[in-house]
Amino acid sequence: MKRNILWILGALLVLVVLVLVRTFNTNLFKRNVSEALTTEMTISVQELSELKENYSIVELDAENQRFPNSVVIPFDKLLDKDNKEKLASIDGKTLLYSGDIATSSKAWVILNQLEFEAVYILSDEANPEELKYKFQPDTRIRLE
Amino acid sequence: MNARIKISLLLAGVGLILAFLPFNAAKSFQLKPTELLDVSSNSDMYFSVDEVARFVNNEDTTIQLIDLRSASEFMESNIPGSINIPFNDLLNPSWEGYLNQDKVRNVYYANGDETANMAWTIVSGLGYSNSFVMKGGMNEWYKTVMLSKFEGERITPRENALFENRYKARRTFTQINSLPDSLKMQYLEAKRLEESQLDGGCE
Repeated sequence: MKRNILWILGALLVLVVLVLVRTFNTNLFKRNVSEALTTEMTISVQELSELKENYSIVELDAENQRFPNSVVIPFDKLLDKDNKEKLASIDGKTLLYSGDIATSSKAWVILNQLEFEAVYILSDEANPEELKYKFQPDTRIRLE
Repeated sequence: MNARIKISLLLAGVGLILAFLPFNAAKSFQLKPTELLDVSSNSDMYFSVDEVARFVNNEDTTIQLIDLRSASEFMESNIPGSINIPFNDLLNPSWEGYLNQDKVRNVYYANGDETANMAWTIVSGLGYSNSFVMKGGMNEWYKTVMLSKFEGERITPRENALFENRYKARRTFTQINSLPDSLKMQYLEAKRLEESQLDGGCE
């Protein structure tokens, strides 16, 4: 009986070690993916003057810096240890900016899933997903 | 201590460990952060609107266009051959058969570049391969395929092929999207059925 108990305790210990390794491994995504679908994530450049909280702009295009005093982190170096520390030390909102919003959108999902809080996409347009054109139907169309 | 108490204590220990496990049953990304960053930095994930126009003209069955906009926006106009998976419904298990597969290349689009790139990063993080984005979204489709005109005096063979491709896709887009809603629904339903049969699935 005592031997069986030792085996079970051993198995529990291994389980605890695995849980701890996984919990404190920073090189894994841990957040529920659905968090990336429901969070408010875009702030426009026009809204910056109305922001009451502290914020820092993180520019992801190292070669085309637009905002003075911004933090520059090239997208492909986003997860370098130094850059992750820079991101973690930001006080207030983190606004990700890139000339091509595609880059900041991808960076936002990655940081969101790494459990960085108060991260937003800084957009040049008030609504980057607005359709700027209106479809004009051809009323003469008939099914063949 | 008798055996029953010892076993009860062990079970309580297992229960405590399970209670503090950091993961729940919900999905989390399969790729490691550095792997996802590497594939995200690669421009091979994009198709231009001209390439998508060619897929439409050729009725390319190796391509599945996925419109991430709302159902109402989709019904108003969409690229022929698209299916509608609104972004906020992306993780609905009923779409997994479309999103996670190796036979067809999925091309995501919305109106701009924000939603489609977020969707791409999410599905890629989940480990779904064969995912792409139509660069510029519907705004670029309208600007380049629907509205661009050749304005030079002499057209080169390359330009001629490019504009023929755009005009043909423009005609198909206008035809399908000009149908009354009831007929458009029939067309979309027929396409969905055709795809589920091709995929070996059932209604």
